[in-house]
Amino acid sequence: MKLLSRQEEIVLLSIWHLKDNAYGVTIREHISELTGKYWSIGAIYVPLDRLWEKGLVETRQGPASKKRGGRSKRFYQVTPEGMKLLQEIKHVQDVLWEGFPAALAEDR
Amino acid sequence: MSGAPAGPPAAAERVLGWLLDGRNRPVVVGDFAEVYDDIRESRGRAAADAWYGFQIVRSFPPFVFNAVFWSSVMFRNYLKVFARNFRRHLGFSLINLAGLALGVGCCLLISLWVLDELSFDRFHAASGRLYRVESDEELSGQVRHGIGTPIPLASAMEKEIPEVEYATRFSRFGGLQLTIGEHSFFEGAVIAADPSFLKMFSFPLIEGSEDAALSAPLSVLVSKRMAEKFFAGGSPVGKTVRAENRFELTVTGVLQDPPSNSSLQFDWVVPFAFVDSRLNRMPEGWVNAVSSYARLRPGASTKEVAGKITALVHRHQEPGPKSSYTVEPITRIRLFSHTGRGLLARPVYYVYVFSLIGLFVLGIACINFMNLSTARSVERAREIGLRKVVGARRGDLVRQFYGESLLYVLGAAGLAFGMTALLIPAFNAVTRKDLSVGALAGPAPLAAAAGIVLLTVLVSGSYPSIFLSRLRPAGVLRGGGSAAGRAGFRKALVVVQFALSIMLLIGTSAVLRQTRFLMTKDPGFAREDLVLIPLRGGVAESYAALKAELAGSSSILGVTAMSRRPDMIGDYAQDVDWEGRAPGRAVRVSFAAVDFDFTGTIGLELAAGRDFSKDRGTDLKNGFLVNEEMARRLGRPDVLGARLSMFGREGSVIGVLKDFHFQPLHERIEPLVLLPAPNANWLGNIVIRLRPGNTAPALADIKAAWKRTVPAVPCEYTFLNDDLARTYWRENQMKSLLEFFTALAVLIACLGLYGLSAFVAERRTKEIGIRKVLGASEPALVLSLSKEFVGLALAACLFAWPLAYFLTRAWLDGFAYRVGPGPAPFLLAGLAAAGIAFATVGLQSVRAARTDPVKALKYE
Repeated sequence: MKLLSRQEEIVLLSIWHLKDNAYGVTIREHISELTGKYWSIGAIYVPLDRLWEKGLVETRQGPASKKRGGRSKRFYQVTPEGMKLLQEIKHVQDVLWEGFPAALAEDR
Repeated sequence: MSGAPAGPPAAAERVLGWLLDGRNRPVVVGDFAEVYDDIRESRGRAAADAWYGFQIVRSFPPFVFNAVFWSSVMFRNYLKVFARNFRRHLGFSLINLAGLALGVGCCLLISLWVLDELSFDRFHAASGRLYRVESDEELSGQVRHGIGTPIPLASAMEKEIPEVEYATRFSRFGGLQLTIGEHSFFEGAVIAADPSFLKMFSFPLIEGSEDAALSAPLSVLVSKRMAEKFFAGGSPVGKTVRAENRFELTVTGVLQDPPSNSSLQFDWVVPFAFVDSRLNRMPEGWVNAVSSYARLRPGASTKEVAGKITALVHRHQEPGPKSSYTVEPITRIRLFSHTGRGLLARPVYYVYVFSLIGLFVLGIACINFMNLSTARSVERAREIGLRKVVGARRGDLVRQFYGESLLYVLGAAGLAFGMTALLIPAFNAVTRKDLSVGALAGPAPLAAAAGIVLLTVLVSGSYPSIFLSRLRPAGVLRGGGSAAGRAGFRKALVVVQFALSIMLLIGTSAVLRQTRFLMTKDPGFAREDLVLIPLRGGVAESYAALKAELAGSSSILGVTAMSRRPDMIGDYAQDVDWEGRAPGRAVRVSFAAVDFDFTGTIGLELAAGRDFSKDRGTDLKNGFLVNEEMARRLGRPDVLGARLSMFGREGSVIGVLKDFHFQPLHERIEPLVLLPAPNANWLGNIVIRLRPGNTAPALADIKAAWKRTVPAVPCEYTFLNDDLARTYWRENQMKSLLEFFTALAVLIACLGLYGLSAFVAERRTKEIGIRKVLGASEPALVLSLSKEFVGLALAACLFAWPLAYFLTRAWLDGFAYRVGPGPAPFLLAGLAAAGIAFATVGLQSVRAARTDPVKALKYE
């Protein structure tokens, strides 16, 4: 099983969440909302490139958009391998996290 | 979203795009634009702009970090690879380095020489406004350009022409006998000048005042070096110097030594008034006799000033042939004066020729580098392929190879500086210059060195970087013969290299043969064993007594005297006339006044008639001897007895001398008339013929006789033969320099050829092995390896011959008497090049052919 970094994992999951509307700007917004941390626009592309190199995502050129100064969007989509890997990760995570308390206070 | 969104400002977008990493650039810039528009919609344009600006600012640090980090990593890698390659192919690398060092060093020496030539007379503060007045004088129907101007011109110019700020006369007037304490000697480096001299030129006084130094007629200025020599340990100012045993001159100042790049050189300056009114050595009236220099006011037109000078002189001159005058910038005197014909016409052509030679040698060295680098490209090809595969762009490779050649050239330049410093004393001796190692540190030589280095890097690095960076990684890594097709270019370079070397060889051989011709050509009399003593300081009056004393010596064959010297008569008669002379036809006639024993002592032969004779009183009054050329000009079958007049002296031709060279061989033998000197004042030199093999006793006799007759005057003699080298110093200098640089060029070319052929032999090791196994003999192998290079050498001849012919022809045209260009040097140079190629390459091929084929086939 391929191991993903936490960043890559988050980005890959975000792409899956966003379905047909996963491109640079939306992915960044989604992650910023989820984690509450600031991600720079450029920074999002480092994990995206790695995911692409590993064949876990594929890209598709969108239509040219007026809003982007005439530039087209690059949409990302999770490949079947990506889906398979996500499932594996989820499985491992579930096993690893099993029985871990949701809130620390209750247990004390 | 309402209306058309504007997007971020285009300039800002471009800056951001430039800062971003390459691969995702368009998409990322698009993302930024989208966010910008969102912010603009929700919070207004100012906020959006501020945000965008912030994004740009925060992209800087990673960008700078990336650039520096990666370039330093790559730089270290390039250095490492360079060092490895250098060590692995130590032989090649050293050949490369040595060739480049020799080329750069040679170029550096030449540029020092050229810079020094170009700097002449530019050290004056007002060098742009200093001019020499020159004259176009009509002489027997011919216009002659010269630097003689009328004696009163300078002061008249200063007073009457408003554009002239200062003017001075300048004359060497034949030197002075000086006596300082015990020392008595003839000093040639004395000049006479007017007080303005110190104001207009930048010859600063160390002691004394500019205004007073030359005002009294009996004053003298001394240069620092002479002051140190004769007045050691104290100031010379106020001391006296005795001149011509008659005058007491007071030292009124000490001058800084004239810089070596001054065309005006002197050690003593006396007021012109002293020479004019006390020595009485100057002619009267407005005749062209001294040089005049002027400093013009800023903005003056030289054409107008020249016109005014001409008009000024014509106003004062008596009726008769008139000269016209021009003004020549002092900065052009050194390089642009007319000194002959052809390539000798102006000294600046020598600057061009040597610059060209410097470029030739550098070119040969660059070609070596290019050849050796590209020849090795097969090995480098793998490295390049791999670099490309891991992501090197073409620009990176170009930079890498230029960087390597820069390293080589810098190393070579370091060696070259050392070499130049070592060679400068020898170079100075040949070029009669005063260049110093310190001169290398000046801004101009450093700029020249930087220029040379840059040029060398650009030229030598261009081909490897362009060619090697173009290799296709796939083809290279598969091991295809990618460099084989490029051998054509290498061959072309070798041809260029050969052609340059052949041109230098031909040029050198022409100069060599011509200088040997100049030094050995029989002038028509025996040049050996002739001693010259100038008749100065009133010795002329004692000439008869001196001659009688000398005649007693058994070591002396003959004694005579004449106006100048037999190998350089140099005086032209203004007003010669003869029966039947075609009016208006220009004939320049040289003349010399001689003592009676002239013909016999010098050893000239008579073609007809008789010599001057003391026994016939009429000879002194109206006898003339002419040379054959003059006899031809007289234009009559029987020359003897022809009427001739000169300086109002009527007479007839009593004899015809066979033509002899009384001028340097640049000049044709011109018409010459000899007349017996009417009195001793006409005589300038004693000429003594020694008995061959008796030089030492003869010289002792001369000194003793001199001491007895004229004890107050120092006896300073020269041998006529020794002066020959001085007459042809320019040619001898050219010869020495050409020999040196050509040897260097050929050596560099050999180095390159050796390296290249070693490489070729190495590449063909297997081929040679197979050939041997199949029965090829060693000579056949050597032939097959070297014939290619020999062929290239022969091809180079075709390019070199015409150019070399043109250049040597232009140089030889400066001589009336010269060796023919002839086919021999051309063939010999070609053969030499082919021979050198054969020897260099042959050495390699023999080694290659000798190797055991088994080893050769196991190779790699």
